[in-house]
Amino acid sequence: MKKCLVNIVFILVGLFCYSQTASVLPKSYSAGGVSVSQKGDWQGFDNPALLAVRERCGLSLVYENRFAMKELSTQQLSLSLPTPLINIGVAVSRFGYSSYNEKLAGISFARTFDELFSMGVQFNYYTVAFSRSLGSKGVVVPQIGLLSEVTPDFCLGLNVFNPMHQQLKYQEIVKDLPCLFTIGMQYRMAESFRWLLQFDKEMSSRLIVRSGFEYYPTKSIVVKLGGYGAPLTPTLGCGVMVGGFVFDVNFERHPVLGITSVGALRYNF
Amino acid sequence: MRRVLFVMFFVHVLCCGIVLAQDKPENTAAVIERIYEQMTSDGETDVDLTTLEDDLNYFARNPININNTNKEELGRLQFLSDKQIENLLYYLYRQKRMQTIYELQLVDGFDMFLIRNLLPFIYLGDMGEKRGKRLSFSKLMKEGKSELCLRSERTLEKKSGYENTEDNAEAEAAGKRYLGGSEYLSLKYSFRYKDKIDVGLIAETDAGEQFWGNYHKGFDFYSGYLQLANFGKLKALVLGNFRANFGMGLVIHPELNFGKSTDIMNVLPRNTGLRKSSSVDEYNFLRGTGVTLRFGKAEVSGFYSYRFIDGDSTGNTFSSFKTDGLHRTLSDLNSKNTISMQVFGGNVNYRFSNANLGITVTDTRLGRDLEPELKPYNVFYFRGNHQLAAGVNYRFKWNKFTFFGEEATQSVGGYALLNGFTVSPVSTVSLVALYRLYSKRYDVLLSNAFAEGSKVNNEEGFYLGLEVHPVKRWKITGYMDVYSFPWLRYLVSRPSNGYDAMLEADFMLNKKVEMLWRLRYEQKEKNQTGPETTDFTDDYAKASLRYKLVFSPNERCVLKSTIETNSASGRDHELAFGFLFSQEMSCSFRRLPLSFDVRYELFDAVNYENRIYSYERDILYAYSVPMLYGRGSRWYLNCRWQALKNVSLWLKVAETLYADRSEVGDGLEKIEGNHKTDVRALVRFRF
Repeated sequence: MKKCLVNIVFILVGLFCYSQTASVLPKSYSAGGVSVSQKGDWQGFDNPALLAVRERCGLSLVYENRFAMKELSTQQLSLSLPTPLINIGVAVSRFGYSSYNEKLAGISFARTFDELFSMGVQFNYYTVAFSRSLGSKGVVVPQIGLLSEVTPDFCLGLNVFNPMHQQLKYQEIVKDLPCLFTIGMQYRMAESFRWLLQFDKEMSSRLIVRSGFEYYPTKSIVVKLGGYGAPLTPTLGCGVMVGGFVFDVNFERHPVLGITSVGALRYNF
Repeated sequence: MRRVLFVMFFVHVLCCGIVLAQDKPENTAAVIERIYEQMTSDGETDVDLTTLEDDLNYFARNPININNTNKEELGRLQFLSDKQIENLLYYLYRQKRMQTIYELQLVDGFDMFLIRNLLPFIYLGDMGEKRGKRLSFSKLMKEGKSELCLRSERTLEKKSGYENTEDNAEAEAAGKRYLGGSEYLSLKYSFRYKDKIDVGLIAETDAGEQFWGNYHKGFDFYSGYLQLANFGKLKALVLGNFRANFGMGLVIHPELNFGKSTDIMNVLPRNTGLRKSSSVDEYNFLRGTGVTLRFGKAEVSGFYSYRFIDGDSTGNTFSSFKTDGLHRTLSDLNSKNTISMQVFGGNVNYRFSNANLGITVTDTRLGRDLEPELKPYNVFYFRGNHQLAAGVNYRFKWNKFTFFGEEATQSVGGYALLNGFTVSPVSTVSLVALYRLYSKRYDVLLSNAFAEGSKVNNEEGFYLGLEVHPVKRWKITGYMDVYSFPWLRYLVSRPSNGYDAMLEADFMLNKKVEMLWRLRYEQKEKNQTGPETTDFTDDYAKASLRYKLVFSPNERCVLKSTIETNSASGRDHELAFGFLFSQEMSCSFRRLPLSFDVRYELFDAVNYENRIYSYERDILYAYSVPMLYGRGSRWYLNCRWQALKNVSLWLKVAETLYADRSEVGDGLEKIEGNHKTDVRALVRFRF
């Protein structure tokens, strides 16, 4: 019964979370889920160009719990390593439970050109374990990202996941991987206030518009408020910086399925 | 004052950039791209810019001395409107000469957007600079430049028209297989001596056409031209393939027709007279000879053309022209060059101090009678084999107004009127108004004028365009066109009407950042398209919005992000939406003579009515605006490499991947699979 329920919820997740067709990609802890233009904050499988502007090594752990069901949770670990020539990042993610799970591992390379323009490429290996009897199957999925600092206060980010429409084929099973085009911007309206906007278009799904605001009452605290999709899914979160550690938490409430929470712990060396 | 200082600073920065990048083909490509995008704001207009590109490439290498120029020379920079040329010449007349390039922004109607297009093609020289000494053969050989271009392209996937069958000969005879290979091949040679002598030879074989076989030997299309210009009283002499640009297009097809573009002030074609045809377009040209002579303020032109065109003839009649120039199957070959077309024509143009008056006459004779199958919508179309058309065109200035127009008629009856004016009440505002009335009996074979429909007949309309520079860095353009069709049209079974409107805002934050917003709306009547086609009409509307951000972090790199969305009522009035997201990057290298453009775009336009057009940079003399509909993505890579001083190479690879189909195209063009990849290459030798 429980597995049946989990499967139903899994299908519903697939239906409602348009741009998150690959559940293995954890949701962003940014306001409204806008992550493509978050300068200085690389989140594993988001825009790889964001890695280019990182100046320090960083380690990040993200845990997402969808609709308060541990079977629908996603865990992610990522490590960023800046070098004088090129910045390198490694990330792994896992979604699912013992009978069905998806894993994604990626290595990313990014570089800044002329301080105003950054570019990154990421090679991901996506595997699905269908069941003990069927075994697992994997495929390489590329990802490309750009980040433009159009003005000191305005950043434009772009990310394309799976540009060549890779599919996972195993025996009779053909699983479409999301071909996702994301474009977004970050506008610093004041020193302590930012507006974020993002458009997600997955090939076979409806367009999702995301937007959010970040408010920094002090330099070490950030409050995030946003929303996305139609019907609107509101998001609320905050972040605290203590020493080299940054702790972020974000909640969103789906009108039918309930609350999803995302927590992240990051450390910058 | 601050505005002037800003503009001067901007022009200075721009000039520095241009000086660094002088004679770089990317400049010409960028200008061509901007003009093409302006001209095809709806994407559906098929425009051939070969001659314009030829001219711009020439002027990029031999820039115009702005202190020693004239109306004709400036007129070849076709993105300049007549009004802008007049304003520039008036400024030069008043100031005697331009001291610095920064003065351009003091000319009425010259904004940053226009100056940016103009700078690669001009320089400031002496007023008394001699325009040319006596021509000698040795000088001709020494200073003339030759250019040889070889171009090839093919689709990597195999189309069904190239599949081998059990009996290829039988399949070819039955029209179930193309006669030739899948490669496109063209060869283009040209020799140019300044703007005086222009000679060229062109040969082309389209993909699927037989190059050497049982049915055909050699290239499918040959073209050649000789153009002499500005030899005393001889203004122009053309021999071979040419085009005649007289009037507003009511009598004869102009070379370049901006029409309903976002370049509001360039609404009507330029009266450039007789010009060579260097394009590989196999339909829109004349073949024969023509001459234009100057007599004081008068210019007299005469031309004669005799050529064969394609048509599906039966006995001594044919029902329609075949204009695509493709001869890939046996039935295509059977309709090749089946109808002779003979055109006599002439034009007299007289220039007054503030006005211009011209008369154009053409006499067209076909080798067979044109007899389209009789349908209610085409009862007034031209039938027969002889057509005489004549038109009077004028242009005059009064105060801040410029009035222009053309009135034409043809031998079998019918008339066409096109009249309008432009006015700039203040330097920041320009307005154009245009009224057209084409009777249903007017159907001139060679005409192509401002119109909503594909033919110049059966239409009445009023067009109003506006260009405003409200504050610095901003330009707002918009137009509205309201039209009606007094008689039936193809797939519109009653007299109908409609309108369309466009509003565009251009914003140039600084030399690095530029943005564009474009909103279009159109509504027109069409037959209902439900499960069954009916003769009842309904209103169909389409709205589209485009946002484009151009960011140049440095002079060697340009990033373009585009978002476009549209909504259109399709079958049974079901409203559907279309989306396009695109990112492009154009880069050149400091030490390598290599430049490239790369773009990735994702589209979701399930219905045909939501189709989206997106201009792509291409190899030299090729233009591509692919129509995207369905669900999928497209990418392309376009490279240019200056291999040696006189040798340049272009290569373009473009692939469209569909997510909603397992085969692409239909008929003989069908490809099994969900992707289509095109490769094009061109090599150019200059000597």
